[in-house]
Parts: sequence; C-alpha cells; structure tokens
Amino acid sequence: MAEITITVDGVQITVPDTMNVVDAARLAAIQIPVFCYHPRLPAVGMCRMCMVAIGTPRLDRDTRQPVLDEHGKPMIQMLPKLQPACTTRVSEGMVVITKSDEVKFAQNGVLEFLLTSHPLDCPVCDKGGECPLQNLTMEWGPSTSRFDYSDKVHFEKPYKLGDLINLDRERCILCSRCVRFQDDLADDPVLGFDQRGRKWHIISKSDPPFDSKFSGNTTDICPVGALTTSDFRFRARAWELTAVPSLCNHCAVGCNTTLDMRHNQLQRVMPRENAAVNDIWICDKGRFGHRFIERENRLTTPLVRRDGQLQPATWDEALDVIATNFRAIQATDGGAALAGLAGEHLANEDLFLFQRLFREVLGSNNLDTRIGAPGEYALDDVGYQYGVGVGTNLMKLGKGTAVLVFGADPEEEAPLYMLRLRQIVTQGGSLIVANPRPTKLDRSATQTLRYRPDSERDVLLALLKLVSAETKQIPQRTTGAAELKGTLEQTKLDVVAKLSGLEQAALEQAAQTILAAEHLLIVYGADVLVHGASLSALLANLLILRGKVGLVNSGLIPLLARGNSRGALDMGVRPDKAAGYRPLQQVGLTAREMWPAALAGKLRGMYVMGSDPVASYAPAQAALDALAFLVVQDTTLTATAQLADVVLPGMTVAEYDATYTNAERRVQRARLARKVDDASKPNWAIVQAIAQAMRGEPVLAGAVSSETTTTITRTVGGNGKGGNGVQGKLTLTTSTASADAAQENWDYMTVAEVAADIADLVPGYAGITHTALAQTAQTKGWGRQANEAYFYDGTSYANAEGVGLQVPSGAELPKATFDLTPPPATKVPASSTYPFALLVQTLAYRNDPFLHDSLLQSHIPAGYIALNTDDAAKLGIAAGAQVQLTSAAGSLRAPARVVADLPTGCVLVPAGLADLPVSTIQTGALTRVAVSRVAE
Amino acid sequence: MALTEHVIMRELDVPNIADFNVYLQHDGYVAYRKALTEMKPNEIVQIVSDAGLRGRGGAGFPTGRKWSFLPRGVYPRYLLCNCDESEPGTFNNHQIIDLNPHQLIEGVALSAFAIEAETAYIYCRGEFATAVRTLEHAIEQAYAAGFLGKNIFGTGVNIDLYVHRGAGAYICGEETALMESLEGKIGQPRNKPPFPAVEGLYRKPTIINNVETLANVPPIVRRGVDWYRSYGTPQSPGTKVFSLSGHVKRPGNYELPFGVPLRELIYSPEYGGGMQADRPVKIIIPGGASAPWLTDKHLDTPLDYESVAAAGSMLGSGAVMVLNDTVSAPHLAYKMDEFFKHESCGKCTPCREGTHWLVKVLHRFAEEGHGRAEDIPVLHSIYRQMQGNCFCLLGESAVMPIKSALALFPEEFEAYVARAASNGKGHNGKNGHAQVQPVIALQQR
Amino acid sequence: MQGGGEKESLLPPCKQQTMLKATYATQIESLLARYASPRSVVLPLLYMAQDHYGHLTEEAINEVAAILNLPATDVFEVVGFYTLFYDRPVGRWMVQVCDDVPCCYCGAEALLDALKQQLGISEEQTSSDGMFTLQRVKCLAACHRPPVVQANLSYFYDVTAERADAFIRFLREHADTPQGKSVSGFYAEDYEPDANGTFRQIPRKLVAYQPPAASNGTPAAEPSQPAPSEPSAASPPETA
Ligand SMILES: Cc1cc2nc3c(=O)[nH]c(=O)nc-3n(C[C@H](O)[C@H](O)[C@H](O)COP(=O)(O)O)c2cc1C
Ligand code: SF4
Ligand code: FES
Repeated sequence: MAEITITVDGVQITVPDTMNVVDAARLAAIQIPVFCYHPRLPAVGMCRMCMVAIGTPRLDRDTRQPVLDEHGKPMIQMLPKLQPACTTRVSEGMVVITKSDEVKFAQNGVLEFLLTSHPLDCPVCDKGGECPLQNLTMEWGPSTSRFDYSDKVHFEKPYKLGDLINLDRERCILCSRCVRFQDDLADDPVLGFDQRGRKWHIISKSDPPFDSKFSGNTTDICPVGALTTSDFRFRARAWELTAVPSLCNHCAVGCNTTLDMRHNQLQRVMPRENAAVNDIWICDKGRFGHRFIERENRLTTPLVRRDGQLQPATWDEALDVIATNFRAIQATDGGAALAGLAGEHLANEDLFLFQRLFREVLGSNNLDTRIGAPGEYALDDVGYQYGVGVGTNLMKLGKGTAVLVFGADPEEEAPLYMLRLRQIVTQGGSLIVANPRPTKLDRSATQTLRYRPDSERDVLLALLKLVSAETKQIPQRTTGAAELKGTLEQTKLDVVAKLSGLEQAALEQAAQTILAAEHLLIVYGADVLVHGASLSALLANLLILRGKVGLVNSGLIPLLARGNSRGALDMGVRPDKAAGYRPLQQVGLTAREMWPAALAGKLRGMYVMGSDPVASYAPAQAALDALAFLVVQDTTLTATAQLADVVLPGMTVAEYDATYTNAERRVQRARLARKVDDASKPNWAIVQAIAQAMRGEPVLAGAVSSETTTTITRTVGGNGKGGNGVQGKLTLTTSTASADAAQENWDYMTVAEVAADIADLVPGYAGITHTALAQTAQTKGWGRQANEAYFYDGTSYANAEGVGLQVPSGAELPKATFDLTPPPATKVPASSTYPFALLVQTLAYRNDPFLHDSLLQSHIPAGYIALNTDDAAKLGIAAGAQVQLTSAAGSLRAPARVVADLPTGCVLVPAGLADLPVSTIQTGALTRVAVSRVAE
Repeated sequence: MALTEHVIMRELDVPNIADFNVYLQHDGYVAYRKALTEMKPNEIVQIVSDAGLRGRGGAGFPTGRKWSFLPRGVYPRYLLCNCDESEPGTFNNHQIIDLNPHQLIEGVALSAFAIEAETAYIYCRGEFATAVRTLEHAIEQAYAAGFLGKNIFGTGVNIDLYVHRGAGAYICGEETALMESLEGKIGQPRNKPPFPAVEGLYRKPTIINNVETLANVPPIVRRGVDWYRSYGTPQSPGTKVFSLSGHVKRPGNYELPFGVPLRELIYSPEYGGGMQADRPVKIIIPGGASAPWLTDKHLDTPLDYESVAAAGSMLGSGAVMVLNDTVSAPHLAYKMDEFFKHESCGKCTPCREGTHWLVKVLHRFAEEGHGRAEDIPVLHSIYRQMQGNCFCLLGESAVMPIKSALALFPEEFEAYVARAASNGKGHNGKNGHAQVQPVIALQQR
Repeated sequence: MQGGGEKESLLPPCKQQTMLKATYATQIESLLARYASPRSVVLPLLYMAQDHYGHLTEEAINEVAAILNLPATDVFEVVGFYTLFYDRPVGRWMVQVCDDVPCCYCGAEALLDALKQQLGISEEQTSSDGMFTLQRVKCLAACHRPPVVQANLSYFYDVTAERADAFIRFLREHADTPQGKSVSGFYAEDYEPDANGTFRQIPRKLVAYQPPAASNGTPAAEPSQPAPSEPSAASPPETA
C-alpha cells in the first residue's frame, strides 16, 4: 500500500492509494455528501450524491511523465464530467474540487430528485433529528421543490419486514445500504429489491421474513426513516434521548452500547463504536434483548421469610437475618458449610467482593459461577493463559491471518464474532471452521472440517503432529515437549482420518494454513468448553508449537457463556483458585458438588447472587430445600428466589457503574443509566453490606450513585454523536482511600474504589482503574473524525466513554511458562445401548430470563430433536414424529426434525429451551443416547 | 448505389442461406475451418483490427482494439454476443438470426477462437422467443457437424456456444447489466472499472460484441482486409445494416456501405422509397433512441460514424427513424422518455427520478395539450441534472430526446404554453398525432 | 419446523417442492452444465415454472430458489425486475402491443383502442373468459412492420386496427396449440396477414442438417420444411 498525495479543494493530503475520494477528503476534514456510500460497505456509486470534479495530471504520451506548466507545476486535466467520489480511487497528483458551481448544481440536483419521491413527514418520522437526508438537504439541497405534482411514490405505510423491523417504502431512497449489509457483512441475504425503476422497493422473502440476527443494524445505517425497529418506533424523538454508555452482557463479545434514556426509561439500545470489539454493530440480542431492565416484576425491597411467606423487609432487618443465620452456621459447622453461586453477567466489582466475602469473612472456598448441571462449561483457564495478546484488534486482520474455529458456532454463541471473522476473510485471511455439524460460518470458511463427534482429540493431535513435524525449534520456557512427542508418536494420521471421517489431505491442508499464518487465532466454543482443558490445551499447543503465544493478534478466543464470564474467572469466583488464577491450598466445592453436600446436610447455607439454578437444573431444588438458610439476590423473584429465606433486590447492568471483562480480556465500563429506588444498592454494595453486617459493623448507606456519574448529553439538532460532539461532563472519581484500608475495613465508598482494589490485588489488572479506562476514550485513531456525523449519522454512537483496556494473558506475564503436556483422553466409550452421540446446540435465542419481555421471545424455537435423514429412515422416524431420547441419566421427548446435513450417528438438540430440558439426560461433556420413536 | 454483394444480408444474394446446407455450399464455415486449422488466435485479432471493424452495438468501438484489452494468460475467458436489441428503432439483429443464422454462429465461434474463449453465449432479449428457437436449432446443427464442442476439426480447440434468453429489460443490453443478467441476477449495470475485458462474466475476462459485429468476422477473415475496406470510408470501413423505420414508404433493413448519405437511404426507391404521402421530413433519429435528433437540414449527411457525429448526433446502432411533420416534437420527446422511464433500472437517482419527472412534465405538453411557462426551464434543468451524472448510458441517453426537442423546436413548447394561456388549458389532444396539428402548423418550416 | 422435506438442512431451513425438479430433471441438468454458476439457470427455470404453473406463484418461485439453492429473496427480485415474468394470473394469450416510437406513429394507438373494444378490457386486464391479457409494451424490434403485437411471444406483424378482429379470431382459434399454451413463448412463431387479411405463419427457414456427403453437389435452392417445433433443451416438453 503506497502513500500518494492529492489535492482536495486546495488542501494537499497524503493518503494510502487504496482509498476512495470520499475517505481521502475526509482526512482533510472536507465533507463530500453521501447516501449510498458507507465506510463499512462496498461502494456502489448508485445514489450519485457524491459527484465531484476530479482531475489528474496530464501525462506526456511518450514519456508517461506529467506535463508541467510554466510554473513547473503539473498541468491538471479535469475529466470531462463529474465523477462519483465514492467509487473513484485516488491517484498520484489527483485534484478534487468539491465546491464548484458545477458540483453544487449536481449535488443539489440529486437531492431535489430524491425529494421528488420522498415524503416530507419528518414530524412523524423516527429518524427526524438524526436523519442524513434531513442534514444533507439543509446543507446541499434545494429550499423549494419544483416537482409540483402530487406524485410521490405511494405504498402501504408501515410494513412489517419482519417482526423486529418495519419498512416504510415511501421513505426509502433506494441506497441499498441495508441490502449490502445483509449480503456482504451479515451473510444473511434476506433483503432484496422488487420491481425496477421508480417502483423499486425493498422486500424480504426469507421464512420467517428478515431472518437475520443482525437485522437491527440496518436501521442504523439507513440514511432515512425507511427502516425502523418495532422496539423503538414512535417511542421518542432522537433529541430527547440521553445516551448513556453501556455494555451488552448477553455474550462474551462485550459489545459497546448506549442505553438511550428518556425520563429514566430505556427507549432504545444503540451500538457504540469500538473497533476492537463490535466496530459499529450489535446483534439483535444486544439491541432488542434489554427489556429485562424494566421488567414489571422487578424487586424493589428486600424480602424476608416470615411465617413461611416472603415479606417485604427493611435492609437492616434483612441484613440482620442474614448475618445472624450465617454466623450461626459458621459457628456450628464452620465456613465450609456455606457456599456461594454468582452469575457470570455480574460486574467484576460484584464478583470480586463476593469472593472476598466468602474467603475472608465467611471462611469458605465453596464458590462457583456454574450451577452444577452436567454438560456445563468447564472453568476455562487455558483461554486466559494462551488468550490473544494485548493489543489484538480483529478489525485490522486479514491477509496473513489464519483463524481456526473449533467446536464453535459463533453466530449462535457470540453473534458479533461472526461479523468479525467474516471481515478477516474479506480482508484476505484464512478461516478454517471445524465442527461436527454445519454452522452458518461454514459459508465464509476457506476450509471446513467436519469431524465425527468424539474425534476432536484425535483431530487435534493429528494437526499437532503435522505442525510439529514442521517445527524446527520448540520455543523457550516450554515444558512437556517430551510428553507431547510421545503422544504424537502414537497418533497415526490414517487412523485419525478413519476415526474422524476427515480426509488426510484435508488435515494436511489445515496444517499448512496454520503453518503459513503470521497471526494465528483460535476460536473455540461450546463443544470445546464442555470438555475443559482436555481439548483447549491441545488447541493451545498449536499456538505454542507455532511460537504464537503472548503475541498481539494471535492466541485463543474462547466463546464463554456471558458478558463477564472471563471476569468471573479472573475474580476467582470458583472453588479452586483465588482472584488472578492463584492456586488455593484448600479447594472448595464446585456447584456440582454442592447439591449432594446440601442433601447430605454438609452444606447448610448459601448465598446465590444473580443465578437461578432451579430454573434450568431441576435437581437443584431439592438441595436448596434441604439448606438451613438461603439468601438469593436477583432482580426478580426467580424460581430459586422463591425458595429463599431472604431475597435481596439486585440491580441490572443499567443501574450502576461497573466494569466487565470480555472474551478477549478487555475490561470495559458500563455507566449508570437508570436510577432505581433510593433504597436500592448496586450488587457490590449489597455484598459489602453483608460483610459489614457479618462483622457487626453499621450498615453502610450504600447509595446507588455514591459516585458522580457520567452521561453524554447530546446537543440537539446537530451532530451530537460526532467525535466533536459534546463529551458530556466527564467527572472522574478516583479513590482517595487507600486500597489496603478499604480492604481491611470493607468501607468502599464508590465502585471506583473497588476497582482500584482489583487493580491492586488481582494480578493482571494492575493499572486498570476507572480513571485509566476513561482515558482510553482519548486514544487517537479511533472511529470517526471531527465533523462527519453526515457520514455515520443515525448509525452507532461515537465512543466518548473509552474503549477499554486489555488484561494481559497469562502467557504475557513475566516468567510465564508454556506447557505442552497433552491432557489425558476423556473418551466416552461408544455403547450398543446408547448408540447415538448427543450434540447440544447453544442457541442465541433461548429461554433466557434476560430475553423475557423482549421482542425476541417469539424467535425462540419450540424444542426438536434433529436426526440425519438416513438414521431417521432406519429408525422409521418421519419428520414431526415424536421421538424419545434415552441416556443413562434419563429420557426426553420432542418432535423430530429430519435433516440432510447432520452426520449419521448423532442427534442434535438445542439447549436452554423451556420445553426441552436437555440437562436432564446429559451425563457429562459427551452424552450417548438411544433414539426411539414414540408410538402414537 | 446498391451493393453488388452483401456482407451481412447474404440472403439477398443466396436464397435460403438460413438453410445450413445452403450456407455450407456458399463458403459457410470456410473461414472458421481455416482459422482453426491454419491460423493462430492472434492473427485473427490482427485481421479484424486491420479491417477496421467497428462495433455495431452503438459506440462504434474498434473491435480488434477491444479484443486486445484482454489480460494475458487469464482463463477461462468468455465471449458474449449481445442480441438484446431493445432500443426503439433497432431491428436488424433479429433479422440476421432469422435469415442468416449460421453466419452469426460462425462469427461467434470464430471470434471465440480469436480471443481464446471456450464458452460463448448469445444473449437474446426475452421477447425473441422465435429467434431463440431458430438459433438453438442452428447451433444444434453446428454441433452435429462438429463445428462446436470438443476438439473441433481435430485441432484440440473446444468451443461451446449457448443461447441465453433474457426476460424483458432493455438495460440488459448494457454490457455489465447483461453479465449480471446472465449470472441470474437483476440486470443492473456494474461499476467500471473493472472493465469486462478484465473482470466480466463470473469475474473472468469477457468480451461483449453485438450480433452484427460478430457476423462481420467470417467474411473479413475469408475475403481479407482489402476486400472489406473496399466498402465504406477509411474510418468507417465495411457495410452497415441500417434499420429504417417511421414515415417512409418502405421501412426495413438495408445494408449499405458506410458513407451513403441519409437522403439516399430515405429516398432511393431501392431503400426507403421516400416519405409516405410525400410529406416532408421533420425529425431524423439516426442511431436509435439515444441519438440526438437531426432534421431535414441534415439529409445530406453521409452515414458514417464521423459524419453523423459532425452533424451533432451519433450513428449508434444504425437505427434510422424518420418522422414527418405530423409529429410534434414534445410528443416525440415524451414517447422516447417514456421508454427510458419504463426501462430505467432504478439503481441511480438521476435516471430513476429524472426520467419520471421528465415524463411527468412532458405529459402535460404532449398528452394534455398545454404547458406552463415555468415548465420549460424546469425541463432544461432536469436534463442538466441528469446529464453526466447517471450511473450508465441509459440515463444519459434519456437526456437526448428532451435536449434535442428543446434545442431544435423550442417554439413548439412555447406554442403549447401560449395556447394554454389563451384558452384556459387548451384542448385535450391525445397521442401527439393528428390532434396536435394546430400547434405544429404554427411553425411554418 | 417444517416437516416432510427429506432435504431439509440444519440451516437455513427451506421449503422443498419436487414437482419441477422431477418433471424437468434432464433439462435442468443440461442447463446447469452450461454455466459456471447454477444461479445462471434462474431465468430459464423461471420460464419453465411459469409455463408449468401458468404464472409464477409464490410457491413456484420458492421452488426455483430451492432447486438452485438460492435465497428466496434473490429469485423474487428477478421475477419483479423482468417484464416477461408474471407473478399474477394472466390470460391464455398474453397480448403485448408495442406502443413505442415508431409504432405509436403508425397506428398502435388505434390498434390498442380496437383491441380494448373487442375484448372489453383495458390494459393490464384479463378478459373474463381468461383468454386474453392486454398489455402495452415498449419497442419489440420489428419497427418495419408496424403496428407490431406479440401474443405469447409469437410475433404478429402489420396488425392495423382493421385487422384487430382477424387477429383476435386467430388467437381464439389457436388457443389450444402449443403456442397458445406456452405463455413463456417456448413454441413461438411469426405471423403476418395475407391478402385476405387472415394471419398465417411465416415459415422458418431452417432445415434439418444433412451430412456433407449426402448433400454434396445438390444445390438446396428450395427451403425444405419449416423447422419442426420439437422442444429444445431450454424448453419444457408439453405438459398439457
Ligand atoms: C442501455 C444500453 C442498452 C444497450 N443495448 C444494446 C443492445 O441491445 N445490443 C447491443 O449490441 N449493444 C447494446 N448496447 C451497447 C453495449 O453495451 C455494448 O457496447 C455493445 O454490445 C458492444 O458491442 P460492439 O462492440 O460490437 O458494438 C447498449 C448499451 C446501453 C448503455
Ligand atoms: S431502506 Fe434505507 S438502507 Fe435500504 S435502500 Fe432504502 S434507504 Fe437505503
Ligand atoms: S454514489 Fe457515491 S455516495 Fe452514492
């Protein structure tokens, strides 16, 4: 990529020669108006708004050298007609004129043309106030229309394109941004155009219509009010909104969002630009799945069980009951009779204090974020140890990068990664997708490997064997090389090929791709996470052998379950390690061990924060019933909370300031957007209050907003979302109290003080304070430049809060060592009683309490059991017939789905559906089942 | 001056040349056999260049030059023969297929060999259902005779030829839209660059030529450059099949050497035979709907690319429409722009909205029979807002009728305005035909 | 989840119908062999579907999408864009009158008026007996024989207003011919009025190929028979 110099309106700028004229002019702060062009989409040059005069130096016919004028300057010959700036690439010496009368006439003309079709219904249009067509008309358009016919295009007004997105075809200016987004970025080609000419209009004929997990983004990039969400339509005017920086907690991507508030009510969720995380997109779960914040049945006061009934109580009373009971259990059975469960969506500050409470005050290591169901994800330490290096930015990767996606379905597990990985391919990278079943990402892959279930380990060993054969030198600080060598010697490629159903050549090709990569990313998901280190360590071995550990743009990316799953592991909410992965002498009970312990009377008291085991794992109920004392802290009266002795009202991500750590270990901060009842406390403050109560200290009046909060106030009618927009009053609170003192005394005044403690006490988090996080907002080179709201308007918001800071991976710490020792095999032997392998599919839209009350509820499928066509034929099972699955643990029924592309010998069952509790038949990481037809 | 022998319309010299056997007996596939067995692809490109063959599809671009833009060593390549023929006034491609199909097939196959393409498609507009059947039948014959398929004449050369039928869209004649359509998409033009020669059908190097262009290739290769250049002018060598239509006595296709004056085409008893009812010529559109108009003043313009351009128009596809004094200029502009509006694909704003607006205003003049003073500057403005700003040449072409009408017959627009002012809205003329006679009578020409 | 489809896929679930694929298996195969991308077969397949079902119903369009494994929206786009695909019921004869320059100055408007009157319908309407749908279309590339009409894509030349009657009569009489049954024009022929004002077919000039040895020296001055109307690879066999 060469740099060249061009002149735009007399300003000389040096730009990469791959740029188009719009982007180049933007660097000189010169706006060329656009509609169809969008910096993230391929340029098509169809709206003709960006017409400018372009000249290039006249070249001598023979020498091909520029002809010079009498001043020794190259003579510029202007092209005979105006050119579209968006599809014209810059070239050396190019001269661009954007403000001549000719240019103005053309641009004015295009706007006048567009307005001959466009209704002037701005007063009732949701886009009003943040509408590029409005803005450009102000700046470049005619003030009156000469089109004096009542002949605008007419269509039926609101038209449901799907149940999430509405299309107003009259407003559409036919720029095709939405179509290109769906085709090129989302790979859900569900939008198109019907008819032609002026009758041209958007249609969606997928079944269901507009079937895409990314549909909401089209409403952002639509430059008019043609596409609106059912979620926000007619709710508020754009200028009345206060956009509060927040984060989406649904999955491990950690997309940056804003919660757009009015009158303390959430009006909509918008993406907030962060190139390294979500760029300017969010998935529909992030956009539509935040109505849980305002659920009507939110708890507002503590409840205490009196006479068998949960009844409202004061905080003092509730805390007193808790302290009394916990102290009693401590006294009779010791701290080890107490246990804690916490949700992985909770903030670092909540989780840090939670484990402190248990370890320092209650004296227990019985901590977990899981609920003990079989087939749950194991604790993912490998993903921390060999995670992607600090500074990794997927946006920048392309040629030279190889991505191996193993045992993962990014579209369902962490949707935004789907866009990021596709972008890497678009930019020239390689993508190997390895799964036992097809996933949508296969379509974008440069190679797919379809291995048989339970051959994962063999496949990985085969890849390791092929890679190690080409590895001259094992990197330094590596252990276990001999053990690996031993295992690899026993690995025979032809045997693996047979076991896995893969061609040996395919394995070789994949190994070649891995060997050739300058940057090597390995993404793994549910199918690996359930197996824990036994598979992920082998994936890490690929990195170690290739010398790609602890490096920028290389490493593991585990698709953990929730927005702060990594944070929970970092904070040490687990039985075996303290915060920062420090091993413990005395290991506590895992969630799975807690239930029998409770039933056996060994475990007597529990504190469950933001977790609802009863809802998704039935056996938990009896165990919880058997406890002497149960405290549940949550936002609603969950099934688990109904069993509690004390229920404490928790807060959602919208209601307090805190930090979260995503899959790539990026710590990011969400802000207080919605004020709740004055008596309410952030989750961390409740934990602290319990600690204080236990210590017999006065309860801290832990007000919600003990810290000054930041909001971004948008300026009305202008480009409030631009980088030059009002940054809001950014008041930063730093902890004055020393961390040690706070730690000793449990007297954190603000969440920033807790964060400061985390920075001091959790290895890797050093320096990650709220102040430092906020400073990342000033990082140069991020996102949009000054004065270009026109470019992105209506799109995602500029990022004024900060883009987060990455915690180093274990491999990046000084003196880190790398272990090649292959973990032992954990095969589940095939059995004739249970001949089928059960594949469990994580769905994005599942029975998740966070999706309740959202429009997505109707997107959750009814349960089904998918079978291969041949298997179904053999068993005499027709599509739709009732099928029973039986495992050693239990049985389950659902209608059959008969599909062609599922490998034989497996059944696929979606997880997390209310009518199909798959955990009841799971026996572990891999479950073997029998399949039978249920007689009518 | 009639040609003693025809280059394209050989059915006039050899009856029933559409019959494969007749074609074979009259030097059919001789050039093709010679090329494949004795010549290198390059040599054919050279001959076609030397002959000065220019594309008959509209732009008159030198065919040999176009072929030489193919990037070296990139395969597969495709040859597309453009038989979308949808522009008002053009109808010679259809006739070539009806009356001399094997010459086209030979031309396509020979040109495919010249550009080293192993697959060629003839893209016919969807309405040409009969022509498609004729072609498919003739192609079957060529396959049966071993002229198409694998290892032709034992030379190892493979050439497959298929007919692909469009489905009703003028824009698919535009080369990039044609490729989109052939790929099974809606026919909308692509951005250029990349040009088709570099990245065309299925993103492979592709050459697109008109039916008449390719039908010229076998005679050129068989008879040689000098023979070919003995017809026409130095810059526009050879002959052209002119499609003559409108108010002439004998509309039809006439093959003439380039350079014959318009007057001869229209008035010679062998060709147009003069104007119906001997009315005067009013408007001549010499190159299809997208050509600027000429008038009776230009009757002596020689019909070659340079002379027609010098007269302010373009030879385009060689479709010569001649209209007499009963036709009102605003109405003709209205009808023409109605065509362009109907065919606008919708991709770019100026064409999509501009043609609509033009038709809207012109309707007031031509169909409602009146106009408003402020409409005239609006018409000027609309076409200026379109001109040079459209994505493809369809939109640019739509400018020509209205621009011509305003430039050549401003008084007709003014007459409509004047009449509207004098008697309210004016009469309710229809069709711009005889009913608008009074307006036209105003301008004694 | 949709039942019944043995080709259902894990993603994305798509409806399957097998009618077209079963009926035209060989044609579809041969069409697919012509192109580097199966998507190129969309237009030919839509023509087939249109003839098979009479017009392009939603199901027919989805079926074409499924056969070619394309997103349904992409195929609907194509149907909407091109004027020769009818996504609504049309008459047995699709009568398309060119109203463009030069036809419009040579009697097309008078012809349209006559046809409307004859059939008692206006443009874009279908006669109550389901026999005719009348449409105005743009230039049909036969400007030398105006007014020009296509009926199921068969050309009719010199259809002056006076001949409207004979023209309609001809179509009624020929409603049950292959031409009448193929709205996609797979059997289209060309017709012109004769001296009595009735329409007759213009013979096509192709004859069957005779190997060179046999034809050697025999000048074929007379055209033999008009080409037989047997369906070619792109045309479906008759399905009446
Ligand atoms: C809107 C539009 C329609 C066209 N239609 C045709 C057509 O029907 N036939 C044709 O040969 N060229 C047509 N052309 C020109 C073609 O794009 C192309 O230039 C031509 O086929 C090249 O062939 P040639 O080099 O043999 O002239 C059209 C161009 C435009 C812009
Ligand atoms: S809906 Fe919006 S994004 Fe889509 S084409 Fe219309 S204006 Fe463009
Ligand atoms: S044509 Fe360049 S922005 Fe639309």
